[in-house]
Amino acid sequence: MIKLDKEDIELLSRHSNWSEKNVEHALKTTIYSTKTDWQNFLKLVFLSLGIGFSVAGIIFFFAYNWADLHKFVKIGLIEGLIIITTLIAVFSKLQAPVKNAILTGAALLVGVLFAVFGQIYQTGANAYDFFLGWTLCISLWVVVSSFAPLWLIYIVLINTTVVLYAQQVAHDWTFLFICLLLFLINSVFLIAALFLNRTKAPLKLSNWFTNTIALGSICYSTIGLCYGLFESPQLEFYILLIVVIIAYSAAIKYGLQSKNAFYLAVIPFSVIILISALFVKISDDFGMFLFIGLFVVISVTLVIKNLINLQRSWTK
Amino acid sequence: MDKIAQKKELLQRISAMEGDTFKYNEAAILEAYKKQTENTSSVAIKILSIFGGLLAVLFFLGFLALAGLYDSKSGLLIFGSLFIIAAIVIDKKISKLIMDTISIALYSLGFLVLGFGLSQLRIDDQYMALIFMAIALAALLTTPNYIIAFTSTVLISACLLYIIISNEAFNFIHLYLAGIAALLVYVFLNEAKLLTYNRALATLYNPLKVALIFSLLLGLLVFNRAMGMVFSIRFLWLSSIILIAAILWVMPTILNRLEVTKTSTKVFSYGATVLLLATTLFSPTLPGAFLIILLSVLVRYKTGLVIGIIAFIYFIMQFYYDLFLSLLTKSVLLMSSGVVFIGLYVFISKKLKSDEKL
Repeated sequence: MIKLDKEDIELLSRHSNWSEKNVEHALKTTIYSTKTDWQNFLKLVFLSLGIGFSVAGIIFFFAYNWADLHKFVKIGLIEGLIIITTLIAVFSKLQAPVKNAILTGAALLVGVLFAVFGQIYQTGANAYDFFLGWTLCISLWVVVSSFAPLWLIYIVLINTTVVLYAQQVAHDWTFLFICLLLFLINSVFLIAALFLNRTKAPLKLSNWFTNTIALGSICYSTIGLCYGLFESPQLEFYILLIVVIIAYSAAIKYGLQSKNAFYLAVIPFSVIILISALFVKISDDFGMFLFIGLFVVISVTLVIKNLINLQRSWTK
Repeated sequence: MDKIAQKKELLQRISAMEGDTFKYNEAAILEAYKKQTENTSSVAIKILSIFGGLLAVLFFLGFLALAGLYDSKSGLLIFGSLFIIAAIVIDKKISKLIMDTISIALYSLGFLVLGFGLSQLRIDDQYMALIFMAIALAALLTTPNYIIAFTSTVLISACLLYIIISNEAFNFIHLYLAGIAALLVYVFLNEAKLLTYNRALATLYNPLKVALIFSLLLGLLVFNRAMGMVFSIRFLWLSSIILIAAILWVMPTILNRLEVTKTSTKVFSYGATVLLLATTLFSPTLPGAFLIILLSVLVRYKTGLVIGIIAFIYFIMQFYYDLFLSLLTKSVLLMSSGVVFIGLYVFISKKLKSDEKL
């Protein structure tokens, strides 16, 4: 049996007089789902619906009785769940990804525990307390597991803690300072992750993970610099500018070295946004907008062209 | 081995299989493969081009606003139409990846500007929707670009829904859902026929598939919203019945693939399906999402499957959230459904094992 791709069939049917019957036959034998596919599908559907509905039913049952439960029962229940999941994650003989997923579940349950605690005792504390406690408690698990989704949740928690702290406590931090701080924190994690990837191969953290952190950092830097452009010049703005210039150059060099198109696409785009903002600051005349529009189109096209050429030279 | 040489050999083998009457345009096919390898862009490039286009459109809108174009009705109409025409022309003449950004940006910009112009002429919203539909249809028939075809189809569906909503003629939603469901089933089940009909249709096939899925989901979402105003849809159950009928229509094909021959099994399958889906009589969203999942599994269409699953989960959550029952009743309902499904799973697993032993 000839091995055909979907695109093979599409292209061939377009440029030949392949009969409908034969195209249908080709599709049915090589592309469409087979009997085993359907059997697996049915089994999967019923199993997931079954488990999903049953678990949802149990959760709803607890939700119904929640208000009437004694506070020891509530907290005890969640702590019990945390202990069970952690024990399973550590001692069972399941495969590593499953164990890691269970540990992630345990980490999320810690957050639930703190939330319930806050609700019962009406601590009325500032929300950043809650996130700070959650972050600190799961730190050990995160470091030990080296599981990318768990690390991502952890970094999101750190970001949230910083933002809430800035909003609720540190009222004297300027917006630019917050952007600079968040950019630095996320970049440190990014550099650490990339460094680990290079040196300790078994601890490899996947591309989507590092790319997401990088994207977050670049968002902070772009927003911060844009904001700073339209405010009166401050010290933090120049510090951020210098840090960003150094970081962007390093990232582009890294992208070229490791043949990662992501950095070579996002950083130029961030620079284009910043230059456009600069133009707007110079003059917000209507002519300037037309100029900026054209500038964006031409520069993005040039960047894409460059990227395509680079990719072609890499695949050779 | 080089990809082109590989494909050439593939073509020769197929030709040998098909016989003497099989003719194919080897040059065109190899050229198309070459173009594909040249234009393979990573996700990064695609996203960059979309965001770049959006940013440019924003600035162009700003320019037009500041240049006082919004004060001139005829100016808006002329520029809007010019942009749309330019987008289509660019797309037909130059088919490089780079020009995609520009043509998509121009296309969206054109509709936005045209919309502004028409609204200033104080034309009724519905006529504006009709005009947009006509333009989108024309674009659909002339350009082979994936994204423009997709956007045009979804735009046509959105305009249809808008006309229904603004007239408060919600009973027509049954007609809309029936039409889209029928089209969806036809398009998915007759891939071979549509691919070989003519070249234009073959290029439109892929964007059409995913656009129809989105159109169905849009219609279902509108149905959900309208249900909030309970008395504005009569025959609430009609759409569910139509969608369940569509699923039953697809079932013979599925049963064929499963090589089910015994009549008793067939009867059982139909019966079980009807019974399970009857619980969703007043909520056509669930059979709708399930139809999308079934069709996607049939033709192994990953994108459709993912969209269908996400939609299905969302609609189930909404279904149970909207039920006017106490939490206790809901929990019992959910657990018993769960048990039924697990029972079905065990039953099917056992049956398949015993079939294999035979």
